[in-house]
Amino acid sequence: MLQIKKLTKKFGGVKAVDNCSTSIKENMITAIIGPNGSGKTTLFNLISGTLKENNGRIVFNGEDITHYSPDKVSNAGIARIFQQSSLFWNLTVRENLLIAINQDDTKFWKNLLGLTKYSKDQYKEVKSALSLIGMFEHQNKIVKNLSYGQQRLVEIARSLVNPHKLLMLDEPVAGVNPLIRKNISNLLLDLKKKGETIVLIEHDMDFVLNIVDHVIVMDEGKIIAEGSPNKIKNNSKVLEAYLGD
Amino acid sequence: MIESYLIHLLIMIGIYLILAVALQLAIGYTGLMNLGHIAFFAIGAYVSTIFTLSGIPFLLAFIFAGIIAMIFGYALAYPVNRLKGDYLALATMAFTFVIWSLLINLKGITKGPLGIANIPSPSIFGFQLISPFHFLILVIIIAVLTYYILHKIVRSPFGKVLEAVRDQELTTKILGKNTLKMKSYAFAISAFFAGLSGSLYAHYITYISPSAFTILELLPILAIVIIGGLGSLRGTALATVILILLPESLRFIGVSASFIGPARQFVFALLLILILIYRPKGLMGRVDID
Repeated sequence: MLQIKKLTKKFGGVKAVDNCSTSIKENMITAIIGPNGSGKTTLFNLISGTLKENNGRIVFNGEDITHYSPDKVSNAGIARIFQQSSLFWNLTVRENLLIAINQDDTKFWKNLLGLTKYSKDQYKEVKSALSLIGMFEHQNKIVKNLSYGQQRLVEIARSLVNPHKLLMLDEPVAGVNPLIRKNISNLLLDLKKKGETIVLIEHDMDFVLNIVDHVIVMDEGKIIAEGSPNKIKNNSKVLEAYLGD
Repeated sequence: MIESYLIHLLIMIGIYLILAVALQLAIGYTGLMNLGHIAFFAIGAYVSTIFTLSGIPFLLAFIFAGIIAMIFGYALAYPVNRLKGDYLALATMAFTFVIWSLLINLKGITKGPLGIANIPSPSIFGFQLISPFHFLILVIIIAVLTYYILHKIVRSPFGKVLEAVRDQELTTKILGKNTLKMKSYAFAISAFFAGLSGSLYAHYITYISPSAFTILELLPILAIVIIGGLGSLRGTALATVILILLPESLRFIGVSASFIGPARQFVFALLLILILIYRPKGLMGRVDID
């Protein structure tokens, strides 16, 4: 589904992503792991168009998206959440999701003439996404008034309703309580059953190894190993770089 | 006497309401700290004046005042697109100085610092709006229409995307929206209505000069937007009434006429400071001032 070919990103003299090549397969959960500063989020930023590469290519479903802007990447079918919460703070939970779902809302004349309204189907989809994360009763709350864990759930729900083929989650459970962590874990497994393709960055090894099908390990900007969770657990390079053994 | 004074106040409330709700769209709803608003007001005033003095019917001149201001607004959005916060404020303020400087120096068109006098009163379909009361009706119609259209815009899905741009621009892009386009629209719509109010102002006062469009003139409009509360059209309307009427009370306590002008600026600045300290969301705002 997604091919990364010899991708490099430099910040001054530092290679944050160094000649990385890998691919993401459909209907699987793939985790990108690695120590802090290993280049995981930079790789996400390159894929989603918020950073421009120095070298290499990114191909998504046969389409070269290397030079796409973030909105074009999104319209090509890649949804993502950031490491830091980035909700629309002054809007309600429901409005946050409706913005993600509606693709006609930037058409000025259509909106001015009242021809663009959220449809019943869109409301229904938002309701079902909020029910899925157990946040339906909070739909009219302003998001800045929610707890951090609830905000993460809303972000995941928002990325789910944003039309996509690939979902990229940057540390979805960092800083959330164990109950919400469990809920997110169950949610991701449910999504996989429904055929979603998910890539996530996560530091919590228990969380990663219990739910993912494929692991990519990065260190100092390079991909040092990849494979099934069991294979990765016993990889000596990974133990050295990531676990410090 | 009192009647004509009240009509004058209502006309000024109407003109300022149009200006302020238009600025609210840019600042309060889209997060664009636009200090170039007074320049769009000036463009509208001069375009309408020059067109009507050239024999073009008022209604056409009035619409062109909005359209030309809108084109300037749309064009301004592109160079300032990557700027945010203070930098955007400075760049748009510079735009005000550029327009002001053009008004001073393009003497062949604007008559320079002397300004343009004897601006005709509006005539609509052969009906001359000579009396202030007739003008008031026109202002009320335009103000209500402006409020209605902006209300419709901010409540629509389009308006929600503008708010998304204000809260998290990068995330809005990540959700597939072209934020440059959205910001350009916000600038353009805001400038359009500022242009219309400029036209009304010129035809009401019947004399315009660059001194009416300095950056100082932005203070009351900015004060209205902030005191009314970011992201609230109702708050803006309420603040317009308060801020136009409050300085007028000085007239009734025996303050000399020459002191009223500076005192108005003082009242606006004082109210602005008090609101920023004690009620940062303004009277009816939904958004914190960042």
